[in-house]
Amino acid sequence: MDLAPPPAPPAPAAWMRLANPAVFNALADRLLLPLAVLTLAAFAFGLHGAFFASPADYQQGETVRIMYIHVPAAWLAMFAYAGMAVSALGTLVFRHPLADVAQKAAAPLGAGFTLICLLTGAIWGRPMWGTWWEWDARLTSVLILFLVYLGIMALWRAIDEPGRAARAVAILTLVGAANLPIIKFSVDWWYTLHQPAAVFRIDGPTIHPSMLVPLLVMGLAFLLLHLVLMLLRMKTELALRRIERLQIVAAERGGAG
Amino acid sequence: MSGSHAGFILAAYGATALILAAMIGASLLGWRSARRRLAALEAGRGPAGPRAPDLRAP
Repeated sequence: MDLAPPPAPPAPAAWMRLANPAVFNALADRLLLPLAVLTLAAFAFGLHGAFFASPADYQQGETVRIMYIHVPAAWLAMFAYAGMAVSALGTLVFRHPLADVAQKAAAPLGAGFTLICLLTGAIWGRPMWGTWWEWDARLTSVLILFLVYLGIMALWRAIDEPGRAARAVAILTLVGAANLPIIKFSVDWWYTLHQPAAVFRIDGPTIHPSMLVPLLVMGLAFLLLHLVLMLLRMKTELALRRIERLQIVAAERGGAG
Repeated sequence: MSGSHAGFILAAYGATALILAAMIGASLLGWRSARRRLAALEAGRGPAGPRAPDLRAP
């Protein structure tokens, strides 16, 4: 009979090691300050490019400068939701403990970016299109994205038990993810007032580099800000869950004593 | 830059700054509040933390 000791369990993958809140918090603490500094630098470079280094558009004139916040906000509105959809899979399929924490942290940020996208789009549309709002496919699908974000935030608050809330929110998030390709391809599938994609195209961007570079830098600034706020909000959520656990333990001790 | 278009640009950047400030402010305040509550609980000073010993004479 072979009495050799059982083989050591395989080391967990890096993304599973992050399931330990202490490991995640330590990593977030190391990343937060450098990322915040990078965010400020990216906004400084991006805004300088948007206002001083890029020319006015031959058709839109100076109003084109609204594009430097409108387009990155639209990218982040969709990026945040795509991240939430991946987190939803993490909750339902892999049961990763941080997946629902990430999902909960991202929803208000995504809603904020979507609101910026809608407001700046309306403010740009008034002088360019002659209207604040048009019920075309792109605008309407982004408005639906905003409403889905609000619905997800409301669902988190509606269910007390965190595990049940996470699963319900994950299912709603995955259903809402069907809206992402609709937003992206709405300008191709339907006749819309909104112009077609000008950056992420198979045949390359159609924007002049003098405008494309500040736009990409502003996109990077928005992305970095999203990452900084995500880390901060995830740390907050982990702290709130620990507070709840400590309160339950204290209450049980008090009840037993 | 024409005056009317400057107003639209200012409105767009102003609205964006307000929303971003709200997002950053809410995240920072939430973190500060949670950190304080957690520190108080772990030190036994929280509202439902371990009870302090009763030092009064029986």
